[in-house]
Formats: sequence, structure tokens, C-alpha cells
Amino acid sequence: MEKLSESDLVQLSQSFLGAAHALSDFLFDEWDSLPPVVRARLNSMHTTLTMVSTDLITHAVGVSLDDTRTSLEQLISVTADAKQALGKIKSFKNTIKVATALIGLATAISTGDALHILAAANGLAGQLEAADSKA
Amino acid sequence: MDSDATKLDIIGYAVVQYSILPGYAPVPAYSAVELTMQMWHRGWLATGLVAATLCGCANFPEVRHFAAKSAEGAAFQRILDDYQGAPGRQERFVVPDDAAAADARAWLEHNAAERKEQVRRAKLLLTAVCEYMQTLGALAGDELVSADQELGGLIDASVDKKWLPEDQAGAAKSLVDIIADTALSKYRQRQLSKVIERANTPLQSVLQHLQTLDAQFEVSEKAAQEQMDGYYRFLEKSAARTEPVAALLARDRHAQEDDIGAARLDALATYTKTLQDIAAGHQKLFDHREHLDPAAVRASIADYARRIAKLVDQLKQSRTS
Repeated sequence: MEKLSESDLVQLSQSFLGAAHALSDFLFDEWDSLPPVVRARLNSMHTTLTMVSTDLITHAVGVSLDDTRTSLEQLISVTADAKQALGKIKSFKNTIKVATALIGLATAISTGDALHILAAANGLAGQLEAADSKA
Repeated sequence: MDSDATKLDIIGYAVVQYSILPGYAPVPAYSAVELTMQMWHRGWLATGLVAATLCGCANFPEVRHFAAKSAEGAAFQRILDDYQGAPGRQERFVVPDDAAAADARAWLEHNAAERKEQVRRAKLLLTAVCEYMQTLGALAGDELVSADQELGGLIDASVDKKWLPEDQAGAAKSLVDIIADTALSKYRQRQLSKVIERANTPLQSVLQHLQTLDAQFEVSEKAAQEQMDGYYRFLEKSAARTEPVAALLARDRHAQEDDIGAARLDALATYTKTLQDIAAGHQKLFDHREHLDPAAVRASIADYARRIAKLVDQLKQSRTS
């Protein structure tokens, strides 16, 4: 037998809910004229109809969620690619930082000043490390 | 032994190699200085500025705002919590001694367990939309292209090295900044357009599914309210003759529960509108993905962002429990 579709399940759930509501209206409109045993029976039927409606809508939600799988996977994939693009932009910025540090080192080397060379080398090492970790 | 200039050439070459991105030719740091010098000396400054201006700016605050508000709207999870909690609420409203009570409890517990798993999956949908919107916002932001600081250091180094006359350094900084920003902008603009194009179909589908779920949650909420309504009416009628005070208390409590139930249904309707505006706003981005600059397009996106922000505020203020 073919499985019920999401819209079939929703429609059925709404029908059961409508029936429960109609039964409830009858019960409370006719309350005074009904014997207690009938009241209890009708109330019990109302509970059952509401439960069936609840159960059907839970099934409908399950079917809908099953249908979302492909779109969800595609959206996650696009987002991952977009993040990669952001990473490339960031690494381009890192490249500028590395380049600045490299030229700083080259400048320091040309001065022959040991302290400047050491500071510039440390700066370069830091930038390379940062670029690697962010790449 | 290599001269200093040769060393710098090698370093510059290495930087160029290091910095090339797939399908994209950036303005490498070292050659940017050379380029600036050449342009400056050959009087191409004006040409460079005009070219850079024509390339356009890729800062889209409206898109960023739209993405931020959409992410905030998609992150609203109370709707899911209400759906998950409905069987638990219904269980409270089974009349004592109801012949169907035992079956109803078993049914509701089974539904509660099933819904817990469903909500976990549904939250993935919200997270995916939220993550996408945050990434879209970051791509549309301007903080990534502010290369000014880094380039400032580069030019200073060139001035120190006597490659660039000190009095021309300021102008050179501006020009190199524009060149680098333009290169980054164009790359980012292309990425933004590509991402919007690829994301639109799955995003619209996910948003459509979320709206379908919302419609189902509404039926679920109405079923829970039907159970609650029957419970209080039963108590009121049963107590009316023998315990009038208890009947009044039940009526009062019934009215309170009715208000909360109405607020839940309102929140569902507001959330559906939020999803519709996110979908329509993104469709607008998709339709104009190659030309997001025109004022009319920006105004329209800003309008969607404002509407979503208003709906998100309403959702935050709703008292559904």
C-alpha cells in the first residue's frame, strides 16, 4: 500500500481534530440532558480523537523532515564553500602581512643592525605562523 | 653575493607565488609597490583611480543587515520547543478517570519521543539557514577589505628603503590601498554572487519546508488546545452545581491558558511571515546578484531587513509559556 503523503496526513489530522471539536461542542451543549455515563463516554471519545489528530500530525512532520534532506545537504555544501572563499580573502590579507614582515626583515638585514634583524625575524616568524594557522 | 635589491626581488617573487589564489590574480604585496611606483612616475595615477572607481565597491551594508536579521529570525527556536512540548501539555489535560487516559498517555509519550528526534532534525534546518546567512553577511561586509593598515606598513618599509620618496608616500599609500581593495572587492563580489546563485534553490526549498512545518505545528497546537479546552469545560460543567468556586477557578485558569495558546498561534504566524520575508529577500538578491549596487536594489534589501527585524522583535516579545 502506498504511504500517505504529508498533505494527506495533515488533512486527516485536521479532520479528526474537527470531529473532536464537534463532539466536544455536542457534549457541553447537551451536558444537562446527558446521563453521566454518556458524558464520560463522549469525553473519552473526544480524548481519543484528539490523540489520533496529534499522532497524525507528528507523522506528517516526520514525512516533511525526510523531504528536506537533499536541500539541507546542498545548503550546507554552499555554506562550506562560501566559508572557504572567506578563508581565501583572509589568507590574502595574511599574505600582505607576511609581505610587510618580509620587507621589514630585508630592510633590517641591509642595515646590518643585529637587534633590528632579530626583531624583524621574530615579526616574520609570527606572521608566517599566523598565516599558516588561518589558511 | 646577492645585492639587497636582488634579495628583495627574490622575496617579492616568493610572495607573488605564495599569494596567488585559484582563478584569481591578486595584487601581490611587493609588486604592488613596484606598480605604484611605475604608475606614479608614468603619470597613471589618475588612470588608476578612475579604473579603481569603475570597479565599484563591494561593501553591501544592506545585504549584511538583511543576512544578520535573517540569521536572527532563523535562530528563533521557541516554535520548535512549543511543538516538542505539546504532548507533555496535552497529558496534563486528560480528565481524571477518563477511560481513554491510559491509552492517551502511552500515545502521548510515544509522540513526545518521536518529536524530540524530529526537533533535533528541524533544528539542523534552522542552523543551516542561520550559518548560511552569517556567512553571506561576512562576505558582504567591509571589514575584510580594509587593507589600509597592512599596506601602510609596506609603504613605510619602502620609504625606509629609499625606494619611495617620503613626500610621495601618502599618495602611494592611498593608491596601493585602492588597488588592493579593488582586487579584494572584485574577488569577494564574485564570490558573493556565486554563493547567492548556488544557495538560492536549496535555501528556498529549506525555507519552504520550514513554512510547511509551521503549518503542521499550528495543527499540533490546535490539537493541544482542543484537549485543554475539553478538560476545562469538563471541570467547569462537573463542578458548576456542587462546587461553584472550583468552577470559577477552572474558568479563570481556562482563560489564562487560552491567552497563552493564542500567543503561540500568533508566534507561529509571525514566524511564517519571517520565513516568507527571508525567502523573498534572498530571491531579490538572487535576481540582482550581478548588480547589487543600484540604489533601488539596496533600498529593497534594506526594506526586507527592516521588516524581518520588526518580526524578530515581535517574536522575542511573544509570551508563549
